[in-house]
Amino acid sequence: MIPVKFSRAIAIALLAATTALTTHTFAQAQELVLGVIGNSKDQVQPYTPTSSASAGSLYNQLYDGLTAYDSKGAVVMELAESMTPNATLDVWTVKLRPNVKRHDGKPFTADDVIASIKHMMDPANNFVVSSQIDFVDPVKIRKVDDLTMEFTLKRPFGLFANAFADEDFRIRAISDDGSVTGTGPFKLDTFTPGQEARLSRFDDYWGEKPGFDKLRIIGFRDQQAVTNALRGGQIDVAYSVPYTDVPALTKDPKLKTVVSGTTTYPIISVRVDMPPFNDQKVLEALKLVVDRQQIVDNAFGGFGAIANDYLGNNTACPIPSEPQRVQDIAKAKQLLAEAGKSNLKLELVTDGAFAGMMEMAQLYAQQAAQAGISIKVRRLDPATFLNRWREWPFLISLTSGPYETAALAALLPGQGENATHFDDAEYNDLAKKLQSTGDLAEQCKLVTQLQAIEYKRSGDIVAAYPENITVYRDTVSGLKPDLYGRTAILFGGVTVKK
Amino acid sequence: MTVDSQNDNATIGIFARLQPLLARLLQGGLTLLAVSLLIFLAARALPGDVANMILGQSATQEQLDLLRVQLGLDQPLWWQYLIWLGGILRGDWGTSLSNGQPVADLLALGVRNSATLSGVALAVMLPLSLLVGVIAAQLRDGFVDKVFLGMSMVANAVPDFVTGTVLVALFATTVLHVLPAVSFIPPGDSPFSYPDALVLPATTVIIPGVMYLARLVRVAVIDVMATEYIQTAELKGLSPSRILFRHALPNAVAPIIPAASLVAAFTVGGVVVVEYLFAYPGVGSALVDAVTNRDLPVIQANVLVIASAYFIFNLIADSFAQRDEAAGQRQSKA
Amino acid sequence: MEMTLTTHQWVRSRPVSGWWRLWASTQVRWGVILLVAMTVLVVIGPFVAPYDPAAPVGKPYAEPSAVAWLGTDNLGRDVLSRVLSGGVYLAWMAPVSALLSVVIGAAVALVTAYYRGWTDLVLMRSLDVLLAFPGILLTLLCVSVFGPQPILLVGLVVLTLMPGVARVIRGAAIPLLDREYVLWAKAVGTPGPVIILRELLPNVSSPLLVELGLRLSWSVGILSSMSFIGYGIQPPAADWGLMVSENGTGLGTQPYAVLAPILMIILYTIGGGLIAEGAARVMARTEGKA
Repeated sequence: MIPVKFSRAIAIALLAATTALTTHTFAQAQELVLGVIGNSKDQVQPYTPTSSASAGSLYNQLYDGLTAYDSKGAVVMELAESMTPNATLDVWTVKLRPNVKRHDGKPFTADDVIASIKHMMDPANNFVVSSQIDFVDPVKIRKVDDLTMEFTLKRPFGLFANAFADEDFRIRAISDDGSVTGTGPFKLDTFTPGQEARLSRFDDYWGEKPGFDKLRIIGFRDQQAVTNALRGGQIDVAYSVPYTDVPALTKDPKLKTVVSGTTTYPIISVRVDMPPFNDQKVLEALKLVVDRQQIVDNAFGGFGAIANDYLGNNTACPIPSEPQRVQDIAKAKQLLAEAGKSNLKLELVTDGAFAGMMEMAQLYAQQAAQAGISIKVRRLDPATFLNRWREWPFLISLTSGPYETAALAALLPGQGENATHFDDAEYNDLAKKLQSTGDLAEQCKLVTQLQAIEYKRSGDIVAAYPENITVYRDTVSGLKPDLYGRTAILFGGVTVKK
Repeated sequence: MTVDSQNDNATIGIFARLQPLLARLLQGGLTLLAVSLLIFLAARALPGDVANMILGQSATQEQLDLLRVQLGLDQPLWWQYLIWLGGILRGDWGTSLSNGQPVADLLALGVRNSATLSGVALAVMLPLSLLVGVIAAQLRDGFVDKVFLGMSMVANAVPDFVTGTVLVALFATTVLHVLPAVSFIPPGDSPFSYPDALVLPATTVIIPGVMYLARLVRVAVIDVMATEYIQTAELKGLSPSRILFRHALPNAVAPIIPAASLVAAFTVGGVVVVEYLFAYPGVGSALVDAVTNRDLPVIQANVLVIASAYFIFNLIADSFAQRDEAAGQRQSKA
Repeated sequence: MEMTLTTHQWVRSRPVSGWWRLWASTQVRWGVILLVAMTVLVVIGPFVAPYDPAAPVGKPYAEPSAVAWLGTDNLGRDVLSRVLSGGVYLAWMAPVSALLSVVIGAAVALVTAYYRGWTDLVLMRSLDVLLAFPGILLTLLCVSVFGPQPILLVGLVVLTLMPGVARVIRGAAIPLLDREYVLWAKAVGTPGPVIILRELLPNVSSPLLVELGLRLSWSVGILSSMSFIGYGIQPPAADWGLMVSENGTGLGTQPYAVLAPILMIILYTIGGGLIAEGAARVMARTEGKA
């Protein structure tokens, strides 16, 4: 008898305790809380080899680039005021924006730029993406005055402003005490890698200032945790959400959505230098089995457009005139039979690190099965996957960045990201021309030609161009669509009302 | 004579009590050493290393090789282990290979958060299991008992991630919105400042723990109540509550202590899944993260902490068990 | 003297042969019926599934409809077909893992409990090392090196569960060493293995069966947890644990994709749990009489 009363008392006490612990919102007025997937390898200084959403979100607030891509994909000046080449495109004069202040109160000068670029290009610093600016000769950057520099390049290079617009090449500065500082819209208060960064608005910022005082970037373990935190009101903005979560999130009247483009998306890649993929017929068959609309609808929840086996939906240039590939199982079977590979058995590996990867892999395996290709999907942990990067014959890889940098890093021989081992004489030739022209119309013509070659011969099966979805609470206003998926981290003019 | 022998007994008593303790501590030290060596070898046997993880997919072979030299990963395995061990013996946990932060700092954060979670969970779990177990035993074969047995079977069947997911759906995202679905605790703050963030992860640990232990308590109480000793006591006319609390319960506790220690150790080590699920920033999350990053010093530090906690819980439980055994012998002799 | 011994042995051997008494227990009967029903379902499930479990039949997370009775999952595949096809691996891996854990664990426990001394010390400390070794690292290591082979997964479950069984059974066996019949058997020079088998084993049968029931549940739990964290059965194979993780994000939108596999896991384990529990009760009753 006594025990029964006991348990009832406990039940009541527990109930009372639960009610007392009402949802605790730790966001305060004028503070915006951003949720991203945290990466414990993040550092405050921007020249780290790792790129992660959490690091990108932080760097975007602390640092500026010489140039940048605007939200419609055009290259605009940031810390630089102008970039002028000589006639042969091998000497560039860079003038800096005047009156830019650093977070430590000092003026931003050419010395900061030169020191930053030297640091980036020193091999000892492991800044792997520096190969994208390997046309720069770090010892031949001459300081003309505090706001002017002259770059004498190793070879003529026309895409100078584009190359520095890549987010990896933001410029940092070093304070007198040796700490790293920046010029961006926010100053850093505290930082715990992968978990949290607290920032305050930098009131001397040269550009459009954010409409709130404090920013907190919280790093979560995975996408689902970010989504849950948004639903629970712990964060105001989710950097991105899984496609399958969008229907549930849009049901909540307090949540709003911005659909943006993105340059970061998964693709299926094969090594074109080894059998069976070095056979053009097999490669063509693998591209013909794809039901692209199904991948857009079922792997990306309908948020995206079908793709045509070339990278770069986000160039400002006309698309190549090649016909859209559509699923053709009969043709694929016929090609495989002609190649003598009717019963292909393949293993498709992925680390599933990016939304849509596992989904795309499974759908593709299912579609390929219709043509008699048996594909086993295998999910690996990231280190295991990276350990044999460029060795996997058949994988889900990731492309990231604007066409000029991403495609060339993935498709030119000897580049770190060339997982397909693509080495095409015509492509290499056109790529070289693209890099050494300063004429925009000419650049566009070359990009279109390059994409046409990818469509025909590259080892990348690009099934869909997914979109980036940012979901935020209705207390936030001013977030804008962005071609590069940066909606959640561009805070110029953004306000918070709580 | 009498005095002498008593003195002798006392001395022997102290030795008898101290020696096993010292032996156990020594064994514990050796166990930890073995664990650290095994973990070191296991982590190094994993495909891929921290250089792969830091440099990512853009890296060339030369860049990877350079970074490995910078991180000392090119040294012979035994040398790397000895360097690490030497550091530990001097109280130096080293620095994280993936972000250069001192391991001690990272560890302090995780230990504080995990200890809080485990502590809260155990503080609720242990008394609750005794209570539930005794109630079920008292009401044996009754409705409450049957409901309890059914629930315990289900609770033990369901893995932690399922319990957690269901709790999240019930209290955080789908049905009610009263508790946070993810337990974010800012690195500088104490978990007690965010009690609501502790509720769901702790409950996820408590439910299966209580259901497992209470079941053992129930069986033990029923067994003890069926013994001649208790039946004699009943015949003597002792009150049921006196029989339960003075005679049955102490005897029922002994057999469940090893299991309770396992649950305690499991709670400490097993918070991994729960921490992962709720993104709770503790030792388990840190370990998963470090394994993913192949960050050896961080893996080692977190494993040592988990293993030590396990060892301590066992030591406590074993000494309890020995004391109870001795007490039981004395009682049966008397 | 000799008379006592024979009588004693006769009394001890009686409960072991009482299969009918086991069957008489309602719980055991229901448990067996449930397990048989689940096994039948799992075996014929793939043949009666309305769709290919790997093929999309509609939009992701579509609610239940005439086309898909339990709705669709994260990829637009039929949840019902996947549930029907998703128990094949668990159906054999879980019982095998549980049985091996209990058999090996009990053997280690009884031997160490009886002999004490160095065997005890070395074996129990090795188990400590094993227990203190984080399971996630072991899983990650083995699966990364050897790939997610079913046999390997079974081995990992056994390694995870066995030390726990050993500890509990050892705890139950040690008090028995002071019992008169054990002391007496020792005194008349009965060999150790015989004492372990005839005197210790029957007397730990009750905790042993409870352990078997619990470990069966836990095997299912661990195996589905492995699938959940991505190191178990590989997609696109249908597997209940995998389904929970794949569709976890859709819990708010399409809960059936998560709840259906969870229900299957629960039903499966209740079968084993009922059998073990009924058996333990029968044993307890019989021993009580003896």
